[in-house]
Amino acid sequence: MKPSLYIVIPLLWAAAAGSVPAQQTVTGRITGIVTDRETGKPLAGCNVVVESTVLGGAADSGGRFTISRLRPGTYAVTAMMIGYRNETKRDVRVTGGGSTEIAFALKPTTLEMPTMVVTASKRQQSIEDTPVSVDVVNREAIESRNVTTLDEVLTNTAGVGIIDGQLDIRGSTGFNWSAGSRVLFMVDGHPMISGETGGISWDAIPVEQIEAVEVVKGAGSALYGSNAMAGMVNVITRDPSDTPVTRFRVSLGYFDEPAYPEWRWTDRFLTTQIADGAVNLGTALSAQSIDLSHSRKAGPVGLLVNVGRKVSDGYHQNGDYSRWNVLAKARIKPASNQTLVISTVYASDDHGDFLQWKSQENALEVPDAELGNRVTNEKTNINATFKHGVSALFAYTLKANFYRVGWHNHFYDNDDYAVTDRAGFEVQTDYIRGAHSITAGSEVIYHQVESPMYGNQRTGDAALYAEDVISVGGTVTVTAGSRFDYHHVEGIGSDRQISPRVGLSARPWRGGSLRLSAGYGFRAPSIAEVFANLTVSGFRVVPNLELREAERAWNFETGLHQGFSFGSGGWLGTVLNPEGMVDLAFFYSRYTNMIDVDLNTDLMAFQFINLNKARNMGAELRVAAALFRGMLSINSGLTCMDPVNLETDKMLNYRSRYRFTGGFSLKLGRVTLAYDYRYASRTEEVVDIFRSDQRVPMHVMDARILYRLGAFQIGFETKNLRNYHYSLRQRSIEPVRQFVLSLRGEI
Amino acid sequence: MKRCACSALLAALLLFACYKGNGLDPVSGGEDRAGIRGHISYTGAWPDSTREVRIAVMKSYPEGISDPDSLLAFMIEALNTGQLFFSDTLTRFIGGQDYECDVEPGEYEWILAAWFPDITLFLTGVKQLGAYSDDPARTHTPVRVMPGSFTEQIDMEADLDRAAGDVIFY
Repeated sequence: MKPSLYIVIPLLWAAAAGSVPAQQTVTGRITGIVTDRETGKPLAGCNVVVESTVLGGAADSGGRFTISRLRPGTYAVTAMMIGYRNETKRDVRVTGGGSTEIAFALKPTTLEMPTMVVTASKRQQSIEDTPVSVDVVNREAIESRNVTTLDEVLTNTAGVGIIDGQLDIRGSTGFNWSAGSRVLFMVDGHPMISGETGGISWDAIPVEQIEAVEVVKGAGSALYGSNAMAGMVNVITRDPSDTPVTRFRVSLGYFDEPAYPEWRWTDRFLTTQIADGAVNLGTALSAQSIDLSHSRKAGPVGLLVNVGRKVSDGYHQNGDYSRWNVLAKARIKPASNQTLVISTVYASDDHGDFLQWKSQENALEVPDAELGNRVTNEKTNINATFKHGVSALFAYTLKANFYRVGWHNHFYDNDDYAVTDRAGFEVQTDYIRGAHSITAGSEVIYHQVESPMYGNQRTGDAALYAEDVISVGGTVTVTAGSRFDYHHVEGIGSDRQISPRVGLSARPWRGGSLRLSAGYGFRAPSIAEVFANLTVSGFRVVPNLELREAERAWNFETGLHQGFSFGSGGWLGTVLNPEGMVDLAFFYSRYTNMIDVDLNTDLMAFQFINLNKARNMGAELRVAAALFRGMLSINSGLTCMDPVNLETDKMLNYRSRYRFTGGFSLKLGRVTLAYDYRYASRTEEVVDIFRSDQRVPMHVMDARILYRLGAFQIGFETKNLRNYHYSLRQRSIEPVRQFVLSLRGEI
Repeated sequence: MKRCACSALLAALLLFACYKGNGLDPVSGGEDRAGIRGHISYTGAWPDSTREVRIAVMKSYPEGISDPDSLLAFMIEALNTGQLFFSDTLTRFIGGQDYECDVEPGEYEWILAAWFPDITLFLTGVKQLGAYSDDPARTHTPVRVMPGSFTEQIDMEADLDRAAGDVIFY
């Protein structure tokens, strides 16, 4: 396929989409207001959708909404918002040229569970209609935790692990020095992964501007292509506000000394200073962050700007960092049925590098030669999304994105650098015909890397996809789709992949849903895996120009989701008043051509090769409940996995067999007490040269107290309450206990 | 209601806090550890090109192997088959220090101080600074390591001037 066709395909698609004529019939509209049933306050941001159409909207700051371009007829309209029960108005009559007024008064729920998701099928759908497991971390959950980077947001999500910045869903990835990601990371539906590795820059997106994070577990290649073979993480950022809002958040944290005197590499730990009677907060090891944002509407344009600054001394040698990030987002409505959103992110980071400890006796120190090793990097991201609702039944979306990552090692033995670009353009169409909701589109992606370590390399991808979500009788949803991907590496060759997916979800009884899916996923070798040529800390990695085969996986999942509520009558209903959900999933994945690093004994160097046949199977149980009219919230997730290399019969490297997350939150007036616990069983296998290293399970407990006063919140948190020392990858200790004070507010 | 909630909170705290397992500690390997311990003393001047020094515990010596590629192959094979163990990196630019090195139980012919130069690959360019011997008339003394225990007082001198020499192993 010629490179020019990469561009021509989606443009033709867009032209075809745009040429679909709008309905000639005189249309009408639905207007209305959404309020809280108990307080009567308007619910800004509430989603209102017209069933069986592509139309919908969000309520403004006054709770009002308008949905235009509706053909005369009778519709069902649903309002939904996290923290409230969905409400549907049926038999809403729309007349040509007329305006129909409706009002929603949503009933609050004590459980802040999401109702709608957008990532699983590239379109808004009820979480109960998705054929795969989806977890959502919403803004309330983020604000209740004192997190400064996005990876911390995900650490309490069932089945999700992050090892040294590398994202793992249900044991799919483990740890491979971030050379290739099996999870696709997106921001507002735009991939934001580096062009060389598919890696994620967790510090680029300010957590204060996150509305929700959707975690889709299982193969997503049928819609998203390479990198989505084990799932997707989609960060949905806040929309600009209609009314001027200024938000801020500051935090100050101090590191506790490690539990063992041998590991106290400095006397700058706060608790060491306290014990010595020589407290100096100016020199104590600390981490500080400040975020400031402003959002307002300027004419027809909604604007949001966030500036963030984070610095840390770190808790180990070479553990310091200095970061800036800026996010800007503009939302424009050129017409009532058109929306243009443009966002940009710039982030810079200068941090010490801790590759491996000096020795286990000096576990928070680096080998002498590596003291002072640093990495600097800059990230720039620009996304644009144009959505056009051509009619009530047809809409198209144009997406363009650009992501540049530039980094530079300043090591004693390595001065490598790279500038990597990833540019993508996508056309997506959504069409509703009877019971069918068809999503189809085309995508082109271009990667370019300039680096002495990789050489100057270019890759291109072109893809076509389509998926039909069929509603059968209102209680059963069938999903069937596929994607064709063409991947070309300049000077190496090409590869083609077809990634089908089928799914079934059903709501056979009240509050319950069943799901079943089978999907094929793949991941093309990253530029780093093919071309990496470097020496760092004495280890040498050489290119493998024969690495052409994508790794592939079949993923199967079946699950049960059951909501429950006992709202009235008796002690159970009136006092305990439980409300919540249970979700149980069984999953099975079979991998071929898994890409892994291996020691090439002829070259005496490491190399990425197509190595393993592997399988992973397991179960995941999630429970969330609110008790005592929402005063006590409990959530937990247990994931049991058995990821096995079928050639050696051993567990895959850096995988835990069990993961558990659990916690609760107790609201007592303005005060909230909260507690989180994370567990991962000991990794049974690691790369050979570190096999004799001591390995322990992960046990992390965080506790916090929050005090809310109007639009302000003061928080005090102890992270890693037990000061438990553990390692997720070899020879690197995870954070010691930390005491963090934070203040956030909104003006 | 608040009493019930507080009771639930306390119960959950107790449940989560009852875990008493140990995390990582400064002493690796747990109760089954075996290895050697001793003191290394340096003589001569530290070359600026020093990346690190480690203790190497070897079951056999790379006798007659002089070219770097063959030596590298020998060491990788020995590492993979449990014939060779390295300690963690030792502190540079000091006069001496206590060390320990975890190994599998067994008999080891050579205990060496291995010097690694800067800007090189792991295991390449390594040179021998000295070897453990309890008899000045002998180049080395074998050491036996018993299961679950450390063989102590494996002291040795390391001659840093050998790092500048041409000889890799002697």
